[in-house]
Amino acid sequence: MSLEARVGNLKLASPMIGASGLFGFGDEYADVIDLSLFGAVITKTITARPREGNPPPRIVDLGHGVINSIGLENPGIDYFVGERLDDIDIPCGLIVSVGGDTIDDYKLVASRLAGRANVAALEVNISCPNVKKGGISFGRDPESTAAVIEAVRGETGLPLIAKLPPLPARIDEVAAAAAAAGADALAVSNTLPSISIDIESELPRLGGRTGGLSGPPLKPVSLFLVYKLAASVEIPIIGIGGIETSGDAIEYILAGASAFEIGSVIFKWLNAPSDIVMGLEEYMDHKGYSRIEDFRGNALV
Amino acid sequence: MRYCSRAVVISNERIADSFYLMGLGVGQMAADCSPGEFIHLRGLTAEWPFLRRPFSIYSTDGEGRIEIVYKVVGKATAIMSDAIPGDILDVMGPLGTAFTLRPGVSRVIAVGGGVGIPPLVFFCQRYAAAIDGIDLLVGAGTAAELVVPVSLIVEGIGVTYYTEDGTKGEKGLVTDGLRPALEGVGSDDAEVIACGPRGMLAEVARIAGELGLGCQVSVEEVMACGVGACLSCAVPRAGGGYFHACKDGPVFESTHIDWERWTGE
Repeated sequence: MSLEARVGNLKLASPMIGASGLFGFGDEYADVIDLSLFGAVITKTITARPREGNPPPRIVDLGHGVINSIGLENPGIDYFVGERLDDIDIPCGLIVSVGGDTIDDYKLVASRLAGRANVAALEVNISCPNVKKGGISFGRDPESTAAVIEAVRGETGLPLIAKLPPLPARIDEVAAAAAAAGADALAVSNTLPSISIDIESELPRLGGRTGGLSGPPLKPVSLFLVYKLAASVEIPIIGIGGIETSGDAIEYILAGASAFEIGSVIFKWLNAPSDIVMGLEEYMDHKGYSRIEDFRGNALV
Repeated sequence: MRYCSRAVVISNERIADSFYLMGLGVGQMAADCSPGEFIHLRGLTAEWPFLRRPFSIYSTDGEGRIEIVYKVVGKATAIMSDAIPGDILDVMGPLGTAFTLRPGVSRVIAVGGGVGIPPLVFFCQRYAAAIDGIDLLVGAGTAAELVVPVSLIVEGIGVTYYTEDGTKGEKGLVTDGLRPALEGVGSDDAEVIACGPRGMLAEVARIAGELGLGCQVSVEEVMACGVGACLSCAVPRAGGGYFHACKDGPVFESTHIDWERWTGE
């Protein structure tokens, strides 16, 4: 049995990927989680200049999920490449999440990462606010999605993953635009825009007021998007959203995903990665599958 | 070294009002704990909310057992209060920075409020013998919330109690007593440490700053990962940007924090 996953030209030893935002620069959990269980871990989004992020509180515990409003805090590409990247030594691939307020920002970040030996791929976070379009995210429409992906493609030969926002209305057009512009794969999807209000203070609970919902409530929505896109796009899909168990991950694979990302569950269970991999192996054994491809997309009937 | 393990509840008793003292069997972790550090805890019941909860360490026997003091404020701590010996919890730790005893410091003035008191007691127990004296000033709204476990009685420590309603010790805020307590104290050989509500810490930092005394504060902010990976627990940094309470803290030099931004003043 092999858990090897191919996501376009990206070869992973495991279909499980650590989602951006949860794993810092990739090595923060190295002494408490066996990162060799992962095909790759994705960094926090790195932008052209340092970003200080949103005021606290930055996370709300809803019980069934969390809303975060970190505000893409990061030290910027110069610091990341100059002071941090070379020290990241993990037993799985490292994927860097790339973000920006303008197309030029994305280009700058991608160009600084080109040719770096320990970067396996770039995940392009197109949920960043497009400053020139009044802060609406690049991924909201096919044109700005294509523009970002094309710009990043022009700077690097690394595999490119376009991470789509969870917007059912035009997601097929956005996905097709990303593919046509040179994305090698899609990550589907991202946190859902959300808010929580304290009824005593009568104010939003988050310092940044609104945030993104993650955890199990996101799963059926994101799984639907993977299912919908798998039937229409040519490039591979990485499923992400609310995966807590091997069963959740298997659902994404049955819906057509070639790999999957886990995120918020790491706040709950540090043994989730090993439980998920073990459960996946048991499932494959029980079903008589020897590769992920043997059952990928089986629900697409 | 950080550990993540299944911890066994050894004891869990109500010590005052809504305050509980929990003893946990944590194995090797107990040998590595210092005052100020915290554990990140999760119950194994389905009712537990999404995130772990951080608790500062109150004591360790160095041989497998630690204790925490917690106040029941919500669902997670209510679940904890129902735990009985033998129950299993998921614990990560020890995490974060510890209070430090700087070379040359012979006297420490420790200021604690509410659930901020226990880590200071841990400090007293660890360092009382090493220095000339520790003055511990502790405060709460009322006597029933003034949680100072009995094991505090350590030689060389003077304890002064404050309650807002005057039901125990001096009537007033613990910070009212700080300035008099610092009279005649030299900045070369004395230091203030504090743990408690944000407003209390801001006031302690202000007074220590005015008197030119070194001051370490242990802070609390809503936290998720506990290891500096998610950047949720932002604490405004003097000069701009943010620290992260779980990794840069929870113990900070008071002058490194931008108190105006953090207290919204």
